[in-house]
Amino acid sequence: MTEENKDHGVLYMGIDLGTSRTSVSASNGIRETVASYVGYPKDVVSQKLLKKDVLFGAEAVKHRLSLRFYRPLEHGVLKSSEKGKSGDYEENVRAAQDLIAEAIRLAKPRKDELVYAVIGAPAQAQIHNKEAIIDAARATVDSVMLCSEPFAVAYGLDWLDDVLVIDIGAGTVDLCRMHGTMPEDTDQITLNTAGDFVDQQFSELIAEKHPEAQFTIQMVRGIKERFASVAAEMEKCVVDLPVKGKPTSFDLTDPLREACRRMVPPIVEGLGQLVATFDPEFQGRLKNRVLLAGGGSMIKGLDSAIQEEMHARLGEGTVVRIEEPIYGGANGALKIAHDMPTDFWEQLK
Amino acid sequence: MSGFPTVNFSETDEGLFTPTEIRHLMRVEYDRARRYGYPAALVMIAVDRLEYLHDLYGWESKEEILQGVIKALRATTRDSDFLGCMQDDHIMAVFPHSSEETITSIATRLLRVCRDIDFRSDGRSLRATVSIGISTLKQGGKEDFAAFLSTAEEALEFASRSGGDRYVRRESATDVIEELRQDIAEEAQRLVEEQTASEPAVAVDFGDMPETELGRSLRELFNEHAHTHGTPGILGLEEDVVRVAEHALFVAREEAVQAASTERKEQVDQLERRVAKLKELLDTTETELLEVARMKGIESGVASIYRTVQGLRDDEAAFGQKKEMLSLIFEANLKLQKRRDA
Ligand SMILES: Nc1ncnc2c1ncn2[C@@H]1O[C@H](COP(=O)(O)OP(=O)(O)OP(=O)(O)O)[C@@H](O)[C@H]1O
Repeated sequence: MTEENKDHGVLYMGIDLGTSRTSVSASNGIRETVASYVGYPKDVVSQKLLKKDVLFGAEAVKHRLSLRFYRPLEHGVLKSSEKGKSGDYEENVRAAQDLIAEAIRLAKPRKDELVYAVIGAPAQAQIHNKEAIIDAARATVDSVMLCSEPFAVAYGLDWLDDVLVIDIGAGTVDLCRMHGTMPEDTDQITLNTAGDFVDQQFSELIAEKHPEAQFTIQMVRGIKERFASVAAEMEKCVVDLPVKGKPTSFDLTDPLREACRRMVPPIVEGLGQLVATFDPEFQGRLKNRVLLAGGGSMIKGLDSAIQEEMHARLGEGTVVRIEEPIYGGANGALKIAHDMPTDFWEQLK
Repeated sequence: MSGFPTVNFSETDEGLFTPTEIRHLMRVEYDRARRYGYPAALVMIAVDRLEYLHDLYGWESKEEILQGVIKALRATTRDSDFLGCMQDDHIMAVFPHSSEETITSIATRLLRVCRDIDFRSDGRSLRATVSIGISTLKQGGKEDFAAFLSTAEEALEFASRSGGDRYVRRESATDVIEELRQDIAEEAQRLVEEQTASEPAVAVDFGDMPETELGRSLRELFNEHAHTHGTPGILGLEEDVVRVAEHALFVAREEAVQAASTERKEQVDQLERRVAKLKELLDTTETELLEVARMKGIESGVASIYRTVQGLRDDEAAFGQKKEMLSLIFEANLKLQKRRDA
């Protein structure tokens, strides 16, 4: 520990940059989360009305019609340039940068303190994405590092050896194998059957069963987040949906359970691959050290369902849901920031 | 045990009085101050973001920090008598006979001392700040102890929501309003009295009207005319004219009185509306102030718990393994940065 920084407060920050939400956890005790939406007023009139140059999270969603609206981390990475649409890409990068700056602001750093941040980036983020993220953060912090999100979750819980992390987000499910060193590409599998996929499946099942019901994907997501479960005995999911504009009661329990359950097989399939390619001696241990994290892990009974499916397909398995799915990544990143030696931070200044 | 027999900050009820007894004594002391009209202050102290400290470092550090703050409080209040105990995770203390100046200077000192304490937990150097809510009883204050307590709690909430590391003093809002209300009641009473004083004690009755100035001069006029012109018919007219004129006069006067009293009533109403509005204003001001304070908090920021740069401790579980992982993360980031700078 160096003496030169004595009495100079240091604010450590862990940031979890996700498709649907960005969370920050800081060493001043602040924990905040903002939906990963960014919007810029479309024209001068809207700007005057909204009195802001940029809006975030729920506020951006609320005013989306008068905004150029971005979800900069769709599918877990900065939306990359589709050919001929480079202007779009630039805007997206800017939105991501503004979102990171907002996350840092939410942690209320003091001007007289050093701010060191670790950002848990999606495992599959590309190099140029990473650079953009770092650029964005450096504007506000003194030093910044990136690390992979599932790694941050495991590190935060001190589960370093022979662990399988399942991080269920909105756009992606990240499966990550930890074996004492930093995970490499071969240790990670990314699936698209995540939260958005469940919303999609749920919508289709509702439409099939109740073609007369009118709903939007936002409504479906809201219902899911309130009732989601894969348990045979689950709370009845009875909700009002409009039929020709008139609110009508529907029992959506079965479609919801079914939609949520569809998430299980691909996950266990992926886990199976990561297990099969692991040192046979430790495969058993690995199967019994599975961590379930991310917003999607809040589906009730999901840990047991994955565990059962593992028993059926892989012979055994123990799945533990982390205590704070929303802040798991940010808390882990904070711990990494905190444990990082001083001179490392200084070299990156 | 401390030098104060009426202080018990322990969780275990050791000490001359138990925390429950002290809370009772606080009430008694407060009632006495109110009865005899001397000042008193209630102070609530909370360690900023204590619950997060628990999340980050576990219970021991939380206890350690609370004890540190209590020690600091004892040091800063060496010359004052007070009653103190724990109320959930808050430190609560009543200072009878303490003026506003005394209490704010204690608060200022306490903030400073806490800021400077180097809390150590598990080998780490931590810092903690406190928020202080103060409610003061002014001479003649009427509020009961429960309201006094909740004023202090509100002040505390205000202080911590503004980013902590500060004190907020509140006077009892109800006492202020009560004062205002009394003023207005007096004013209204005065108006009512004025109104009754200026009302004529006469009932308007045509049959039995007292003679007025107007009537007399009219009659004189008629008499004069009757003498000079000697027209007897005019005498009948005289009675009618006087009657009509006097009636008109009474009506006009009564209208004037009525108008004046309506005006006063309007004034009273207006005053009453003002009271209501002022009260409403107080409520909204409070909410707005909280909002403003919250925004201020964003500007000044919230201090980190860490005083120095930390780093992995070598007695930590899996030290070697973690160190290696951290080095790998660092190297990957260094590479990234070089690429970026190139
Ligand atoms: N109570 C809940 N029950 C079920 N699903 C939920 C619940 N709360 C949130 N979710 C879902 O969790 C998903 C978001 O998870 P999370 O916030 O971890 O994602 P993210 O990190 O932003 O996404 P990604 O990891 O793909 O970048 C969304 O699909 C959301 O609908």
